Amino acid sequence: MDNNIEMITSGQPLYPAVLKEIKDFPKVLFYRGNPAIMNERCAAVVGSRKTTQYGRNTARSISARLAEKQVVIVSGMAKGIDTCAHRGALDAGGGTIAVLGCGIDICYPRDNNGLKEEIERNGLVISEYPPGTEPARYYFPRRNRIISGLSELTVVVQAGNSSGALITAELAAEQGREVFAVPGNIDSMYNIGNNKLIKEGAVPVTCIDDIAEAMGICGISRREAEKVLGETELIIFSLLENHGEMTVEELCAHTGKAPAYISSIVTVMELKGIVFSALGKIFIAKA
Amino acid sequence: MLTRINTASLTGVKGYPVSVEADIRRGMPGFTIVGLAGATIKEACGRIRPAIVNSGYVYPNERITINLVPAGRHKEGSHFDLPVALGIALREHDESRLQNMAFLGELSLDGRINRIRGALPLAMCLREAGIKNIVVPAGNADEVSILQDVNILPAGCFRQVVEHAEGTKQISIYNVNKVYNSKKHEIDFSQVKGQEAAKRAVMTGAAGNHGILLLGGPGCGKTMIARRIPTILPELSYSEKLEITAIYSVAGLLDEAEQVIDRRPFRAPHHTISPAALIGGGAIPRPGEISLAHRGVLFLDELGEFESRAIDAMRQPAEEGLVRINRNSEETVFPAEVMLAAAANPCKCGYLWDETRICRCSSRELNTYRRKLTGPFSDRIDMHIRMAKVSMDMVAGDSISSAGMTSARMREKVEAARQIQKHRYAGSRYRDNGSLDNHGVELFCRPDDEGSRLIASAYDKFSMNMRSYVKVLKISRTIADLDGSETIKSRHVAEALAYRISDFSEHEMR
Repeated sequence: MDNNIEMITSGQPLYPAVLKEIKDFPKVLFYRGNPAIMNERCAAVVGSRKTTQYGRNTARSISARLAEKQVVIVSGMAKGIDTCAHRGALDAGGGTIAVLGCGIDICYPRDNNGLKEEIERNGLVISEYPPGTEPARYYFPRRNRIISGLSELTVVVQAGNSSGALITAELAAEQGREVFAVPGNIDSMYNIGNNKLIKEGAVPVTCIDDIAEAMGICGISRREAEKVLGETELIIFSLLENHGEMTVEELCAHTGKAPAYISSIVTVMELKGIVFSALGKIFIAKA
Repeated sequence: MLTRINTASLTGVKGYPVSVEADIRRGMPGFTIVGLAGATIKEACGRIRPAIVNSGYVYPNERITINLVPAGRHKEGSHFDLPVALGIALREHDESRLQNMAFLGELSLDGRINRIRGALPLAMCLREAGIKNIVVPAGNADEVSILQDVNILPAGCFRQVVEHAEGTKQISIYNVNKVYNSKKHEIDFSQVKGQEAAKRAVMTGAAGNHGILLLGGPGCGKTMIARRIPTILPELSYSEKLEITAIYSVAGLLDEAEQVIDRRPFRAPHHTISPAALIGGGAIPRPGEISLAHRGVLFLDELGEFESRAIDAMRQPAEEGLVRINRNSEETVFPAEVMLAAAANPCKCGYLWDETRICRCSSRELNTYRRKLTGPFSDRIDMHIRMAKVSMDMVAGDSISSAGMTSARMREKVEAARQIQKHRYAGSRYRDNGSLDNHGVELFCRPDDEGSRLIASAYDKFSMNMRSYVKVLKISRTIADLDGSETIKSRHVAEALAYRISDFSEHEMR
């Protein structure tokens, strides 16, 4: 196929297993980029095209925080929230997947061409429509099932009363995936949809880490740790990652260092907020 | 006729010389004893008469008055039997000969001389008073023989003593003069497997004489470690052995087979102990556990279970290094310089923070427990040592056990660090790093720039208070001393922070 567009069928091992769990999964996916990230842990961050500054900021920071924890952000590359979601993930150096409602060689909306290219380089752009398919109104709600289908959970950041993001939320719920909604100002038209979701039983996002916690990844990630830790500290960090909680004793045994040295290192790591200790055991800190 | 016999009496663990004056003259037969004699001395009359008669001497059918000089101090103890009886039984004697002799001993009705309490401190004060010959019960000979440059004359029966006093037949000087080399401890830190970090921490505590609190669930080895602390404290000096043996002598705790305490004591009173038993007391004050642990280790297992009154009573003595007890307007002082070691479970049931068991404590119980551990007594605790249970592969694995520190090696380090402290604090009012107050910390415990920055950031991050801040500085001083470093570097501070006092705030509690 031309222009680096490739294809994957549901029979191939690379085809993500989570997507196969949904009722009408696409038999064929066209893509550009790295298809392996579909098999990593994904979360959908979606919302309407018309947004407020609050919505855009929240979308960015949620995506960035999740990306730091190696979660791949899935969204629809539409204007507004979707764009911010992709942007946040890319800025944090994480992976992101854009699911299009048209052929993969077509950029819709056109303004996002730069973003699309960046995602193709650092993430993945997929579509179930063959290359050359022009966008059509009814394609978009359909592709939303792929967005929620790829993801463990879906976060609706901001949605008006009849936003497509609400369809994604509904599909996610039907697929048995958790739906999160960011609470918004009740006077604002822009927030009617996400607030309504909360009323209907979606989990409200009360702080950014709620989502990571729901995914069970509240520990500090390696990437965060690498930024602040020295060489020996990283060795201890990896030991903790592999063994869970450890005592100073066990750390000494694994590193071959003296207890005095290890306890001073652990204290410094504790000061840096990477680990915490309780009654003789060392744990990786919650972010 | 008047006879003067030298002996001594005790207040606390200090003796003072007493002279027993016996006046025997014609008059209504009778026995009066004056000079604030206690009950045991008052009833001496009942023992003395048969003892004298059964030894083959004549009990005078005359008026007997005994005066104990100085008359103004309370006296107590059955060891007055012998000097009083001697004063009555001696008829012909050389006054100047008796002047250089002192007598201590309790009489049996058949004239035998029984073992007494407090022989060593009594003999010590007589030696100080310049008396060269001291007659003691044969059963106390070993104990008193630790004293140098006095003649110890062990006596088995009253007849021997009389003959010696009269100069007809001498008692041979007790010349066993044992060289009291400290015996080896049977326990050793090398027996503690897989707790090197805790051992290191305990060694730090011992090096700076810091009070320590061992925190950990049941079965993680807190008691095992605490018991071994005396094995790493410096060897006792001669004068320290004297001090400790004197205390045990007064308490009546010396074993007849082993009459000199030559190892640092380890006392572990049960948590149901009363305040009086802990710090000492009674109508005639006796040393409490804290004094019995003098120059050794006082170990309070299950600190959270101790009665608050008992813990409270210990505060002052632990700070001052001595216990003061007032009775009948007399003050008795017992020494109490101890290294404090305490142990506690993380919560009442002990399973907090243990993922194999579930802690059953309510949050209210947790709070009460926490208050006890962080209560007033915590002033004397500088370090919290957190311990986790040793996993099976650590016990079995030989990589650890072969590298484990032995008591001998730990003691070497402790002694070196204590030597440094001795030089540093020579001429000041501090003894060691553990005894530093806020002012002392300011003078002696200044970390270098990097270390200061570290502790400053820790102060915020760990939300420490001033008290725990000062303690961290003290401990980092000790760690630097162990390292042989005059400046306190950041790595010393970092290690000290690992032993910081926790207030058991949320994340540590649950």
